[in-house]
Order: sequence, then C-alpha cells, then structure tokens
Amino acid sequence: MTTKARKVDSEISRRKFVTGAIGITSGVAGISLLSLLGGLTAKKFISEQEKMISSGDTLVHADGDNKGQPIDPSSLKDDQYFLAYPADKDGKIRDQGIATKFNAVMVLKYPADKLVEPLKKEATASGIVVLTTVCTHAGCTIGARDKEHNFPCGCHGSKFNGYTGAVVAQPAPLPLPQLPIKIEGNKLVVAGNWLSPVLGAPKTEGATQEVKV
Amino acid sequence: MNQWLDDRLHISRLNDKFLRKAFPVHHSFFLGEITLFSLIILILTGILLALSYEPSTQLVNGVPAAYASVLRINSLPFGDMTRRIHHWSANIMVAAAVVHMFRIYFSGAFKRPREVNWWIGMLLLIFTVLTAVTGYVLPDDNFAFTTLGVIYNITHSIPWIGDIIAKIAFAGDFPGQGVISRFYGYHIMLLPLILLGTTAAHMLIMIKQKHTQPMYAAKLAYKKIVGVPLSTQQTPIMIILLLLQAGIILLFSAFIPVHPVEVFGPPDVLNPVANIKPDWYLVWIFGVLAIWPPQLSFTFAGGEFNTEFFGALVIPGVIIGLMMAVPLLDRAKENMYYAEAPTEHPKRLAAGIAFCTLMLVLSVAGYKADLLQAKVMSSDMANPIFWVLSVVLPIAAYFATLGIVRGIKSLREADARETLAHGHPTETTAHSADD
Repeated sequence: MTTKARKVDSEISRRKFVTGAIGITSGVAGISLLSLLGGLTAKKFISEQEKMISSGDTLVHADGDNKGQPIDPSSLKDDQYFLAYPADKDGKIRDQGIATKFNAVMVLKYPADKLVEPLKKEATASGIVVLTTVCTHAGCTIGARDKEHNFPCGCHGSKFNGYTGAVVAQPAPLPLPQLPIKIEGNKLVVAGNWLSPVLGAPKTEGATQEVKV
Repeated sequence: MNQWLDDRLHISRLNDKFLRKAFPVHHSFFLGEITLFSLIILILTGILLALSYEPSTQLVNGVPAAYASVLRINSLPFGDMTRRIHHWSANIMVAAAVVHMFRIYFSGAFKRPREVNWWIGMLLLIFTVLTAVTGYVLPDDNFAFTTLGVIYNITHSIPWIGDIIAKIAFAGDFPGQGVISRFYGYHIMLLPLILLGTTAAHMLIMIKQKHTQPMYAAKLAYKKIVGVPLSTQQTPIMIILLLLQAGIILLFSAFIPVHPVEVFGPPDVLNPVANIKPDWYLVWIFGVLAIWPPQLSFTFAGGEFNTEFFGALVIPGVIIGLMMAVPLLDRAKENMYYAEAPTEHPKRLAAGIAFCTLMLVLSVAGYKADLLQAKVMSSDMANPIFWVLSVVLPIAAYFATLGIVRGIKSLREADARETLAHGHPTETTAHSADD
C-alpha cells in the first residue's frame, strides 16, 4: 500500500490571506452599511390626529356645512349617507397625514330590510352602518354612489353594492370592510376594530403605539 | 492650440477612437438619437424645474408645499411651458425608446454579438419608465396622490417582504410625510444616475461593436463598415435632428397641456379623480390589474398572493422576462453584420406583431371603467371578453402576419418567374426585385 505524500504548508499563502482579508472586511462593511436602510423605513412620531380610527372615537362630519360637527344619528334619513372622520375624546379630529385616507369612512342609514349579508347586523346601530372608503383591490378611494346605487372605484372599474358593500363588479376581491358602531346619547361612537382589514392601512397596534409629539 | 492639447492629452487618439465612429445612413437609425436627445432636454428642463420646486408635504395655505411650489412654477415666465416641455419630452423619450426597441427586434439586431446591449437597453427602458413615474407624482396633486396609493399597494402586495419594502421605498406608511421628498430623491438623483450610467454603457458597447449595417452596405462593400463619421458628417445631421425634435416638442408643449395640476387640484381623499389612468406606457399593466380574476388569489405559508401581486408584478414580470429572453432564442454561432429584412423572418415578425396586439388589448382593458360607464359592455361580461380577446387576438395576429408575408412572397416569386419567362422586366418587377 502506498500513501501519497501531501505537502502541507503550515502558513497560508499571501494570496489567500489577502483575498480572505478583503472578503471579510468588505463583508463586514457591507453588512454594517445595511443599518443605513433602517433609517429609511420608519416615521418616528405620530401625532394624535394621525392615529388610526379606534374604539371610543366619535364620528364627525368630514365635509359639507357641518364639517367637524358630531353626526347626530337621529338626523339621518333612510338611504342617506355622509362621509365622516373620527374624533378622539378631546374632540381632536383624526384626519391628518395617513389618517386622511384610512380614517375617511362612510356613515350610511339603511331601511331595515336592506341590512343583509355580508353586513354584520350586530355591528350596526338602529340601521346605521359604517363602511370604509378604501377599495379592496388597489386601495383607491371609491367615488360617490351612482344611479344604480353602487359605489364605483375610478381606478380599475370595481363596483360595490351601495347598501351592503358587497362586490358587484370585479376586480375587487372582497366586500368593503365594516366598522362596528354604537349610539351613545346623540353621538355615533366607534365600538371596535374593523371587522376585516382595510387595504394598505397600518396595523392597529401601529396606530396606538409610537410616541406623542 | 490643438497641438498644445494633443501633446498633453493625446486628443487625436480620442478622435480616432470615437469621433470617427461611422453611422449608417438610414432614417431608422435616428430612433436611438431621439431617445438620447429627449434625455438631454429632460435633464436641462429638469434642472430648471428643480431650482423652483419644493419637495415637501407640509401644508402651505391648506395645500402641500410641493403642490404650492408647482403652482408657483406655473406662474413664472415660461414656467408652465417648462413643465410641459419636461413632460412631453418624457413621453417622447419612452415612445422613441419603445420604437427603437422594435427596430432592433424586427431587424434582428439583438443577435450575437449584441445580446448584452439588448439587455442593457431593456434596463434603460425599465429605468426610463420608473423615472417618468416618479416624476409625475412629484406635483403632489390629487392625481399623484391616487397614483402613489396604487403604487404603494402594489409594492405592499409582494408576499412576506412587501410591507418592509413598501415602508423603505415610501418612507413609512402611505400617505406619510416623507414620501414626496423620497420620490424627489429617486427622480432627480438615484434614477438619473442609473440612467446616465446605463446610457454610457449602451453607447460605448455600440461604438465597440458597431451598428448593424443596413443591407445596402453589403452591396457597396461586403463586410466593411459603411457610413458617415460622427465628426464631422454625422454631427450636422444630429444637430438638425435635435433642433427639429426640440421644435416639435415646443409645438406640442405650446398647444397641448399635459398634467394640468390646477385641474386635478391638491390631494383630496374625499373627492378622488374619476377614472384615473397612468401615462400611456403603463396602461397595459393597469389593464392586467383590471381584468385579473380575484378568484386566483391564495395564501401560502403566511404569504398572501393577491390580485395586485399577480396583476401588477407577476404578469408584467413574465412579459419583461420574455423580452429579456429574446436574444437567447437565436442560436447562431456567427456574428451578425447586416440588419435583416423583417419579412425574411416571418415567425419573428409575427411574434412581434402578436406581442403588440396583446399590449393593445391589455391597454384597452385599462379603459374598462370607462367602457363600463359608457355601457359598451356589462360588468359581468367585461372580464370574460377581455380574457378571450387577450388570447385570441394575438394568435390571430400571428397567423395573419404569417399569411400576409407568405402571400406577398409567393406573388413576388410569380412575378420573378414571369420576368424570366418573358425576358422583358416591367418597371414594377424591377423594383420589387431590388427590395
């Protein structure tokens, strides 16, 4: 039996050392530069008025003559709908920054027989339903109710049923998310979180975390 | 002076290497130049606009500072004109790049050894479109607001990593405060740098590899480079072309407004722009989004594969991948010298026509919302109609092209036989034999 003699050099060659050194240092430098990306993502401070809609908020008129006034549930007539923003306990309206888009909701008053699936009846209060204005397809804001009583989306032609928020015309994949509400005195109050997620909205814990300015 | 510079910098070697570059004399070779000139006009007008633009979403008198600054630019002498020139040049640049690509494709100029330049050209096209899109969101009007919202949700739709990527790209959730300054950085710094670098590579490789030669060059001097040198003969041609192009852009800008920010108004969530469309070169992606069936969405291992991911990223990705793969379809071992006549390669021609047909069908699908409104089709039938059309029409276009090319060929062969038989060629057959 023969064994091949192998020459083992205890020292590594110069080329190997230089290659290894360059590799390790540039790797470390590259990884440490990644930390720069961390600064690209986050917005550090979220003011009270930029927070997402949350339980206990009062709904106020978003436009029109009564802008900023709390919506009086008894003043709503059948088939009527308003755009609304939430206001916190101190009356600060949450309609700034990111909240401009995701806190804009529709307050609709229905005749009782129109309260059908996919609406959740337990999330309504005396015929009043609150739906999002954000289309479930690509996150565009849907337009005003048309003659056929549908909400059309101006981006890709989706349509939602003007009563239930159900999809009438695709490509929208899901019905408009619904927000549970209750009536306290003569005010409409948010009673919980969205029943299904609103497309593109930051997660709710993100809305209430963060530092106050 | 020349001698003094040459002693120190060896200018004459530069002259030999680049300035004597031979340009083939054929009008279709102007397309790349038009793209380049558009880029130059864009950079010049872009510098002017950047001097007065304010990339901020801070509210000034109730409107974002960016929007206010665009209104201020409009009020400057020739301010609105500068914006229009910038926007029109962007449209013309994308159009010229696309037609340039068609010229390369139909004449087979992507073949060995020019594959690398085809890929670089594709990157140029992609980055040109990205630059254009980041540009038209900068006015921060209601149009830009809706566009940004859609782009954000498209980015967000990437399974698993979409959320973090969207937050990095848009400076947090959308609509946030940092998004306009972030896109300003992309539009005036990051993307132009990439564009200029890629353009330089594209042109250096072109100079190194030479243009494909038009067929007449083969008759003049086989396998020799035929053309006029950049200095001095091609230069006046280029100057005339640049002036002509600038004139046409000025004419367009003077009479046809683009992106009138006053009409769209500042961002207003409660009153979205009705039937919004992206610029023409992205309407096909918009169309895919509008007709992609939501039933095909699914969740896999915690990642959501939704309509937007398929419609705006997967399908366009597949189409761009196909375009990238074009040079791989050719297996020639020889280097290519001469531009080929499209009709000599009917299958390639037909595939290209079929591709254009598909793009057209998808672009029409981008107008689905308007078609529904005009009651051209019902909302139940719209998607099936577009699904069928996007399969049937390209296939029909493919075979129609093949048929037409073969028909013309057989007619010409019949003509040639007749000429042989009778021995006295008529005027017309002499021409067709030349072609």
